[in-house]
Amino acid sequence: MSHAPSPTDEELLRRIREGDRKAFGTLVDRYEEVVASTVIGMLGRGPDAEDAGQETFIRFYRSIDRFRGESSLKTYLTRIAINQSLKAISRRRRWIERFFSRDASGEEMDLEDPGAMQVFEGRERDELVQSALHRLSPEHRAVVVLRVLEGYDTNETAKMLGIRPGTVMSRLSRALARMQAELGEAA
Amino acid sequence: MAFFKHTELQDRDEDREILIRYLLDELSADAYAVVEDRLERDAALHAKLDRMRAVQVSLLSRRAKSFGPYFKERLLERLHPVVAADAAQVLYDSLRTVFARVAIAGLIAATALGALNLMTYSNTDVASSVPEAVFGLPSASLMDALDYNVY
Repeated sequence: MSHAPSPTDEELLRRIREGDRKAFGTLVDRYEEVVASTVIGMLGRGPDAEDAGQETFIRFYRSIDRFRGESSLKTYLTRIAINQSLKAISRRRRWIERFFSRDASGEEMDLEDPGAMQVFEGRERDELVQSALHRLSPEHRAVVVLRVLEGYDTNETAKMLGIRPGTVMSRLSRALARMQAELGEAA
Repeated sequence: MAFFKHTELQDRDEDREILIRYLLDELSADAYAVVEDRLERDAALHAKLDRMRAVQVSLLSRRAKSFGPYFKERLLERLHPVVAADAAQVLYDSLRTVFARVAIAGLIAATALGALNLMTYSNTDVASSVPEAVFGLPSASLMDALDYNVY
């Protein structure tokens, strides 16, 4: 029994532009991992990540006619995903600042830490690595996610984040040093 | 790279960046060989690399692969009203464009016809006033009606 070859990205894009929703489903299957890895790396698992993931694909769908193929589909989706994640972090920060800028003991909560929400919701803290990653600032976390997790090279990462390649490397260096310190021997 | 001319790796930040480049395979073949050589001779640097590699491995092992079951179905469900709204907007925009063009064409045609009527009305004795001439209306007086009967 022979299998039909899976359609190329170009073929999928053409079919989606013609209104084929099944083709869009195929594209979601193909790129869910890329988007999930980026978004969950930035936000941790939870409703915010799911929402940002869905929003990434919806934004892509709505702007599909503007996609001219200058970058690969993977890069394009990752760029949308990272922007959605940064927006979600800003929303989360505003929300926490508005309602819970200080906890009961009067100590400031770590507003950059998605775990702060989990603690507030009474959930268990994420595993050590995720926790250390999420303690980084969004700017440092984005560099780790794109450069280490997603494997984009330094220039691509710089382009996606709108920073210089040298800044990518210095942020990565500081981020890994901090994570290393947090993980200690457990790493 | 001037750094590789030194015999010892001295600057800690620089050490870290070089090791990161080494781990992420961003060094040239020559630079790579120099770092390898130093790693063999410098146990502290080697330990530093191992710790860094452990962080890298931990990160990669925790890399998410999906949003969980039925993500696509939830997404398509959410997309449905978006698509419907987009389709309605597209229809609205198309109709607006068509109607705008028809309206402009109609206005031009009416103006041209009015101008033609106005130019020719003095040659006829049908219309009795300028507005009637512009709109191409026949005179509607009682005398005109009698005249029609006569002819």
